[in-house]
Amino acid sequence: VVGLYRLCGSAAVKKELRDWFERNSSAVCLSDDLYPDINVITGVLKDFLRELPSPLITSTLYQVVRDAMTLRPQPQQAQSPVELLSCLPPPERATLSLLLDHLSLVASFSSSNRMTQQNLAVCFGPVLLTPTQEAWREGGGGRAGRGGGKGFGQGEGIASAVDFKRHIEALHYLLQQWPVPTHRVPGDNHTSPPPSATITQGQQLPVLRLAVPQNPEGEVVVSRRARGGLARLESPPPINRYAGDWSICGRDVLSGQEADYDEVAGSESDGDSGDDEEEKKEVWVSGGGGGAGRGDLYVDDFMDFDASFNCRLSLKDFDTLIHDLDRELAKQINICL
Amino acid sequence: MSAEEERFKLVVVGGGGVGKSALTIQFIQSYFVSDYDPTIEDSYTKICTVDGKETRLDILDTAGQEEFGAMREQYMRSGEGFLLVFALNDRGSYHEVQKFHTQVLRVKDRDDFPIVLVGNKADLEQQRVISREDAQAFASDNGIHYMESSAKNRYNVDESFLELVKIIRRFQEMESTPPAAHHTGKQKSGGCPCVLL
Repeated sequence: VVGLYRLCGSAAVKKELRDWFERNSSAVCLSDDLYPDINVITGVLKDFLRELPSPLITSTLYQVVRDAMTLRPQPQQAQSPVELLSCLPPPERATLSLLLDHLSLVASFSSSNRMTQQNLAVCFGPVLLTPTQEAWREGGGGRAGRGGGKGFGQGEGIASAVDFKRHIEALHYLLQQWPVPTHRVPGDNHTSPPPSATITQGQQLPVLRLAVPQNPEGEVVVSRRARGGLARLESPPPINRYAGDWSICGRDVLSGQEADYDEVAGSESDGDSGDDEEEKKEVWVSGGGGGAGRGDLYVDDFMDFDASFNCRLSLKDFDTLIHDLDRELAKQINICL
Repeated sequence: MSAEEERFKLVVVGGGGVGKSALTIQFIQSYFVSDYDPTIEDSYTKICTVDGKETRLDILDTAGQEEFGAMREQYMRSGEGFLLVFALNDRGSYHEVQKFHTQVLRVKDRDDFPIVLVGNKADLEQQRVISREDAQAFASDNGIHYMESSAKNRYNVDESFLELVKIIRRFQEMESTPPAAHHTGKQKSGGCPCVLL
């Protein structure tokens, strides 16, 4: 699809789909008939990532990546992208890995979709790295409590143009370094960085609230502020409701890598065939999947376990659907071209 | 108007991939870019003569992606005229442009502002999904001007920009605000700050 992730979907349809996800994400069906416009789906994914309480690429990772970029002349010194991600808490790391896999995949089809790594970086830079995070660090965390994290805050405007470009460069670098997604990145779980434990804890509580998942922007704003600067900040659970959403996503993958996730892993390798949407799908499915049952485990886990148990089927189905969808779309494009 | 050179800040906004940069570059440099690089933000300057009067145009070509929203208010505050661009073959972009319209008015805190709605990619007539009538109706309802263009064929490109210049002039004249044109945006039409007291 030309311009995948670049074009915007209809706001109304996006809203509808989003509401559906929030009501019951495991029931969401992204079939061709219901959502013929892929840009709606990509749009919802971007919105979701953008409205996470803290950017997927945390300021720590961002710094690490920037550092790595300066080492580029001596690649042997540079760490592999996988290592770079090790500074992330596991859920984030897993989610980001998945996303980078997906984006690499999309980029590998740039001859037909025109979305090169650079283009994708431009489209995702501001999604994964919010300007607030930078503004935060530099502007002093004191403003944390205030709203406006959506980036509509005024003072952030000026600095953000520059930030955007740096963010994009960083993401581009990551994408360039990222291995072609032919395999799951191994060992993610093993090197648990120290902070991750804390963070995970922090995230588990909020997840409970996920039972009422929602993305009202106002709240997200707050939460982003709360977590934006320092992931370690233990924000009050209510604020962090999003974190749950997301750790879920991550978790899902994590558990996939551990024991019970053969299926997911399997579907992912399917994805390698070039399916644009498949992985995203997966994120979503897992993210929302929890809603249904099993709430009595860890808050978090309920989601991902859910995904692994209750949602396995639908997950598979989704993958298939998306596959089909994508294939169809690809055909159309060829015709257009 | 000041005796100095007339100077306007035009901002080109619209959803991703609708051809904002293509229009802008066609206008400024008279060629059609076929690259597919999403813009972050680019600015251009062009001096042109509109209705016999020379004007210097500072044109800001903006990012279409919603993700760059943080930069939006910034340029919306400083812009003196807006080209709202959508693609005739992309319904999403048509909806998007309506949001932009609302946002401009909100940032400017007024009911009308110099805006031209541009339906681009008129060359892709066979893929059109937004009818001229619909877009025209939306424009009329909101008191803005509507044009269809093709950056590729250089159809209505200059016309769109120049029309916007004329509208800005008219608007600023009506404002009867001080000569410093850059101020106009901030003033309410009443212009009397005492009202609040």
